[in-house]
Amino acid sequence: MESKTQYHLKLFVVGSSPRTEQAIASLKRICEDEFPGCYELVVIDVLSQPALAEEMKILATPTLIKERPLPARRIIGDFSDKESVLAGMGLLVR
Amino acid sequence: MSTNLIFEDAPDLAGSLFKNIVEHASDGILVVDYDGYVMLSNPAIAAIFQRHQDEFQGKLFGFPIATGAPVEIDILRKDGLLATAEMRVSEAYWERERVYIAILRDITERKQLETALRLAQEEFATLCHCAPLGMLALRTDWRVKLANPAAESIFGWNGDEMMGSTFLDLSVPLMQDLTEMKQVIQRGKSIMGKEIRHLRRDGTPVDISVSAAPVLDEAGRAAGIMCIVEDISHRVRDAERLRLSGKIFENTQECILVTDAEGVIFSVNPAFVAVTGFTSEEAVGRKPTLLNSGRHDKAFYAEMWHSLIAYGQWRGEIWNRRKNGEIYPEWINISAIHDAHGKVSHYVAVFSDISKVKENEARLQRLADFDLLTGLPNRFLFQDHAELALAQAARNGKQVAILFLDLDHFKTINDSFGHRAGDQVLIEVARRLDGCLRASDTLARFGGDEFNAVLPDIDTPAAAASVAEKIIASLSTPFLIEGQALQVGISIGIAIYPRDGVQIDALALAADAAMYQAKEQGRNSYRIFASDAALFGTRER
Repeated sequence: MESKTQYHLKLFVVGSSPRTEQAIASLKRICEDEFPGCYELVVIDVLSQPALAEEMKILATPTLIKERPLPARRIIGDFSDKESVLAGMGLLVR
Repeated sequence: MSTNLIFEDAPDLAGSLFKNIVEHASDGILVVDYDGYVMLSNPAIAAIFQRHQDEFQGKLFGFPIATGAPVEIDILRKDGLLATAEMRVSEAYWERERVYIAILRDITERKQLETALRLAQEEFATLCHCAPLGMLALRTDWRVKLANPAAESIFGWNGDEMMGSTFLDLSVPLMQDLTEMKQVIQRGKSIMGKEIRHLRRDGTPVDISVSAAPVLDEAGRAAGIMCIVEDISHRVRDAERLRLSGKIFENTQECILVTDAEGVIFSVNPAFVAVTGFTSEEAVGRKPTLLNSGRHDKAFYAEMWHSLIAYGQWRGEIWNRRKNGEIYPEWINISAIHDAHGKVSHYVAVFSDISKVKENEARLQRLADFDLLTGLPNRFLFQDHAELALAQAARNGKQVAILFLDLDHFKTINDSFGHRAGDQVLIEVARRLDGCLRASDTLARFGGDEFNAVLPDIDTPAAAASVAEKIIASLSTPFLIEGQALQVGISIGIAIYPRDGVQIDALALAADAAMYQAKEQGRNSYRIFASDAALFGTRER
């Protein structure tokens, strides 16, 4: 049976600074708006999982990796504007 | 080694210029494609990430998003440290392909400074808020820029009211003080703990200590004044109270002696020195036993210490010795002084020399018992002596004579020669009468020209009669008063205990009656109470 989850997202952040909190809040809001009930957002603190960050070649945060649906895409910077984020993830028809 | 792909095929002037700018820009420049792969990076990027430029070229960075304003991102440096960069993103076309240009500026240092500054400000604000000292930041014109809660309470104004007010508006210091302070600050010097009295908003005076220092700008000019104000009213009041206590200690008429808990003299006041004769140097360090008169036994002092320990106080009369050896009575009040933990720290003895009081008491006693003019016992003391004599006689089975004596025609002397002469006569009469009596007899003046005598322990009534004869004879020589020879006679009535009565009142009445009989018989004579008149008869001279 196919999983309901269609959107697999990984967010890489540093600690729990206001910038981190803001990035998480923005993405949750966008996901709830756009993919309610069918997304998975995993937040990874690069300070507690440096090896994973290294493996994923994360150079700066906040970085969001959309793993599914393919093609995978990686965006970096300001996630407060929904349109920009969706466009960055390749989910907006331009 | 060439670091970019773009310029390899464009060796023209514009390309060379662009290359130069990118190579030497202090901001990091990344050009990425739509999939986030790096097409171009410059040395500044390598510096920001502390990574080699090879790690960017053709590698995945990510699709940069910065809508409108620059966005702050965290940089994961190769060395494991974090940096902060400000990222701007713009779009461009290169060979008809859309590319994204991210300009990164390393703001790590600025952020660190901002954080440090914010922390310092928070620390300072917390300190100011909690400090019991009034803290004010003033502009150069002494207007308030910042004030903490302690300053509000010291000046009696709230923070908003204080803002923009001058120091002079807030308090009313003496102009002279303020001018002085201003001059010091203008010279770039600071003020340390200048004590001034000012008026609070509600008009109550407060003593404050002001410390102030100028804050200098780069050019060394005063840019502001930092001011610390301490409410020292309590300290000033305490000092005043101490000064007053000292004055009282120095000037009181009462002697004050303070010892430590062990009873060693700690201090004495001038009154103590005046009364005891011991100087402060002689007394301090010794024990109060140096004043002991030897008049009180151990039990007396034991009782005193018991009271001091049990009740913290003792008061009473005590005989002490002055340095010159003289013994004198004093009224003393000793109190224990306790420290903050309730332990005795000192004893304070306050006392006054009451020898004068004692003398006065004795004088009053004499006034009560003696006749002022003649110094003879008065009616009351006579009564005591007579009762004592009767009681003794009752025990020993002896007889007692009561004599009632009254001068003859004394009024004439008063009238003719004046009361002064009369008083002189009375004094001389008293002296002569007393000369006729034994030491155990008591002669008293009852007022006017009336005298009484009690002769205890007589063998027979005849013995009393012979005393009466002696008295009459003693007055036969004239008195020389103010150059005049005056003579006065005396009539005497005699009553005998227990024959004529056993109570003093009855005997007095009998003697009185006998005296009137003597008067009737022609004065200057004596008469024994009538019951035995026949036996002894009367005798006139």
